Amino acid sequence: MSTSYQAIGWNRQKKIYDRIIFGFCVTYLSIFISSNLIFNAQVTFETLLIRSTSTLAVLLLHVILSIGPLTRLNKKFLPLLYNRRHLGVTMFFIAAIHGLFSIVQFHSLGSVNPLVSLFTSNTRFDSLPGFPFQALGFFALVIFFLMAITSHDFWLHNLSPKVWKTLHMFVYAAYFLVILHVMLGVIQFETNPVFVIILFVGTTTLIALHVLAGTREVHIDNIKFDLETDGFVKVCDVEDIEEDRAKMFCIGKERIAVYKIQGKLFAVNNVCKHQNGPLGEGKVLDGCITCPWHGYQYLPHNGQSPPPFKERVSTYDVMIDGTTVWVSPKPYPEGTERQGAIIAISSPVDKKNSETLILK
Amino acid sequence: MIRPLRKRHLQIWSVLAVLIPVSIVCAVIARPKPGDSVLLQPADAASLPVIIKTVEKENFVVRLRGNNEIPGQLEWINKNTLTFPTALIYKTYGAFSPEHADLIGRIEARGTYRFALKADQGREYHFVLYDFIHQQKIDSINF
Repeated sequence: MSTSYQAIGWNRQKKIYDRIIFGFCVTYLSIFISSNLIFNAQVTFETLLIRSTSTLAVLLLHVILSIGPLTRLNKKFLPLLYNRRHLGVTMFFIAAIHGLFSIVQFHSLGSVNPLVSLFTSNTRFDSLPGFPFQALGFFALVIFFLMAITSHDFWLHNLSPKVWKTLHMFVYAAYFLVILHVMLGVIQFETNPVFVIILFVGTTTLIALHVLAGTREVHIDNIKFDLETDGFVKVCDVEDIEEDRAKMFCIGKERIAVYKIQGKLFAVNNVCKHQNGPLGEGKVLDGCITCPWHGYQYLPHNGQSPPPFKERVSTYDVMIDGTTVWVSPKPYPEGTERQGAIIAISSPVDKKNSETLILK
Repeated sequence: MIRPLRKRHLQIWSVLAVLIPVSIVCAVIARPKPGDSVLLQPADAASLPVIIKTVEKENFVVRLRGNNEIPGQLEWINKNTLTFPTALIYKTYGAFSPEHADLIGRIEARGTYRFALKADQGREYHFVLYDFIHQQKIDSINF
């Protein structure tokens, strides 16, 4: 979190994350280039650079796109999500090196402008094996460029989360363009089936992860709750919620996160104001509900970020009847203070002695 | 992530789950079959066991082979890629002209070529490598 814009808000985790990215990229490029030089000594530097950066960019793109569903399926992957922007920008730079050297290598030696040559040297749109695949890669690179330059909170706030998110959803179109770029490009000339198999495994794994995570999320959203006459909805048992953690319930249009904090239950809107991260998948740190995506924090009793931050989310009424938790789906204005519901159970294993308290 | 976006993500990946595999399969099917790298020359015959004579030059090695001391096969090994499109090998009997020489065969790329020879005991063997496109003698080999 930050009250002002910085180019990069460095912290220890980001530095470690970036060092790992840098180390991985250098290791990959070193292994790729050295092994090519050993087995194919006649290859030129330009060709090596084009091939090594292209494979690295495709690999990183698959890693980036798999982080989202992996975190939804298993919270252990959340650290990967924290600095995914830097991974995306790195991928763009590597893809840009590939694109730049490809244009230099294949389009800069004639009398035509290289960019004009890119779009006019091959116009066989009616042929799959002869399709102008380089243009597909160019369009994907343009999308990655727009994403890279807007990968900052400045743009997130100024474009609005809705516009920003819509722009960044184009990554899926870019991914499809990249797959076509590879399949209609190098694969058309490559006789070794290993490359097709690797790409097929990568794409099917990614698709499976997204469809699995998406289906699971829709299932959670579609769970029906019994509505009581006084407007409260029965959601779960007190024991179903871990201390300093939450459970999410989709009642009405959006999910509500019910947190258990120091003997009380608090309900807040599940959507973080930063990038719409799932607050219910986070945990309580320093007494604040902390978004698992980028660490934005909110006070549980009023949904406000601790001063000097100004983000606010809606709060809801919670009550406990016996050991059953009830939540009102009616949101209070963002930042409205609520007392929370006191958990009056003397012992988690002795529910018969528990008192019943109803607090709004 | 808000609910409409969760739904939109699932819709997008449901579409990609169809489009991507179909695209990959179509692209693989559409791959042009690799051209046959068969030489115009008929397949090489097995080499005869006895090397009778050898002439070695910078770009090729030529051998007379046979089952005994009588040559029955001309073995031509191109060490480097030819610098001319194709060339013909003629067996000559004196001054060379294509009209008055026996055509032995044609060589193209780097590799080994073997041609059958008529038994011609007791005589010297003279071969000419001829560029029939530019109509010029490239080299001559004398055994």
